[in-house]
Amino acid sequence: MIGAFVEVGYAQENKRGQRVPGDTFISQRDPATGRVISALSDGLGSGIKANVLATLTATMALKGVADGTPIEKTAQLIMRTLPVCRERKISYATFSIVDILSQGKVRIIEYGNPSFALFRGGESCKSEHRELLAQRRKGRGRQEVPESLATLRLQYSEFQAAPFDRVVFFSDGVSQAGMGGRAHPFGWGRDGAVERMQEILGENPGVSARELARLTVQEALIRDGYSAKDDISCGVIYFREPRQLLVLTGPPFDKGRDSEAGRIVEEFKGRKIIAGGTTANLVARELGRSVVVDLHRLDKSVPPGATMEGVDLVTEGIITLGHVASTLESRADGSRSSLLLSNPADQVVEMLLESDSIRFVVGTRINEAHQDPSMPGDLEIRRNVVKRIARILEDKYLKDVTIDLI
Amino acid sequence: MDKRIRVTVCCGTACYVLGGSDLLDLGEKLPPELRSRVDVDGEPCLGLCKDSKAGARPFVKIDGAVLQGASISSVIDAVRSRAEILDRGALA
Repeated sequence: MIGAFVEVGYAQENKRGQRVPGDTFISQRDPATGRVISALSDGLGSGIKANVLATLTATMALKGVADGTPIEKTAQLIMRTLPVCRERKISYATFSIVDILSQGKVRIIEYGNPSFALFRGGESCKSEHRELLAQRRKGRGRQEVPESLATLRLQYSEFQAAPFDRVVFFSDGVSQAGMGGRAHPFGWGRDGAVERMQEILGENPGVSARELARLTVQEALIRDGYSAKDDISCGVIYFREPRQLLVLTGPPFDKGRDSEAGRIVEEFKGRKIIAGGTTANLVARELGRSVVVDLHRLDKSVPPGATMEGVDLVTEGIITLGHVASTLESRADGSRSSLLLSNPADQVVEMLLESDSIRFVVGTRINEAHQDPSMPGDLEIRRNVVKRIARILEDKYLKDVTIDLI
Repeated sequence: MDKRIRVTVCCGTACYVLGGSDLLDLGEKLPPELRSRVDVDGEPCLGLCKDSKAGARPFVKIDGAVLQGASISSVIDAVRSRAEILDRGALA
């Protein structure tokens, strides 16, 4: 499993009429060890109350696992911390924790959510699990809880991931979709959902984690008649060959290294973006190619893009990258800007999110024209914008990012 | 037949923020009698912003001749006079 990339994707749909999700999905990657931990929690009820319960639960679960606290202890702690529901007299939120250690060893701990699905070679397969019991401790001033809730029954699974495995976990908004309808009075069920995922994988064996999560949520939403009856959330983890992307931006500090910039573009195995007019021209000159600007797309928020043979996307530099940074900061992972990516900045965002391993090569030669105080707006220093983008890609989207300055 | 005129708009950062963004749909803003004989295209960066003697941004090239501080109206004027020169040349 060395060398496989762990792609984490999720998608979410709020229960109709709610402005916030009642489910929470969070994830973290330790850049030093490559360990990836994800947590999904479904809070009791919906709206803000559920959101707070789910956020608390997912956060505590993630931290507990990351710290190495025994999971039973973490579960007890969560139940003691959560506020008690006034009507139901219990504190409650479900959770699923997926812990991927380096070398592809996977541990999954589940409480109250539909059990995860493991797809190997495109087929859903069963995995062994055992039960862990945690006593709900009686805290001071807490109500007696019914016997059925006094013991928390946690499902624990452990396995070694194989290349191209997918782990899918979801809230009951997915499995109960369609409930009350004639076709599925109790919803299409976990099995119905898993079957549909398998069909999606059959149609598109290389589908990304992000896209599979989005499609799963969409399928559940369709069964709910496009009006979600509960919060619908799905997380997908995909072990695969990393999809590589190169972003070259800025001319090299030393003009003598222009040919090296050209060679980097030429030799890179993966998709390629050039961001910057001067940069595009120098690569075109070094590789003997031409750049053709596309003036037909007239979204004026960013300068037009261009095409060059052997390069997937050519854009302007600083303005476009600034837009990319703010789009990445503001949007939710599962969302997609639109099917018609209207401007080059949106196209860059889409390519970044569809890649796992991203290499930025930043030329640091300063364009003095940009330093002119009469320039309107803020033209940031290139390497700072790239560092900002890299940080968001690492922290929020769990990408593997490197920056080389030339 | 009238000789065609090529207008190249610089799409680099500095030109873009100093008014170049208004020049991108130049093709649609040309008066009808010029529209049919002018080809508008873009260049990622004409490189003129780095030359302090080149003048004010944004830059446009009309059949290779640089027009500095370009606006829709100054480009139209320059294209008109270029057309006149070409037509006079054709008559002579």
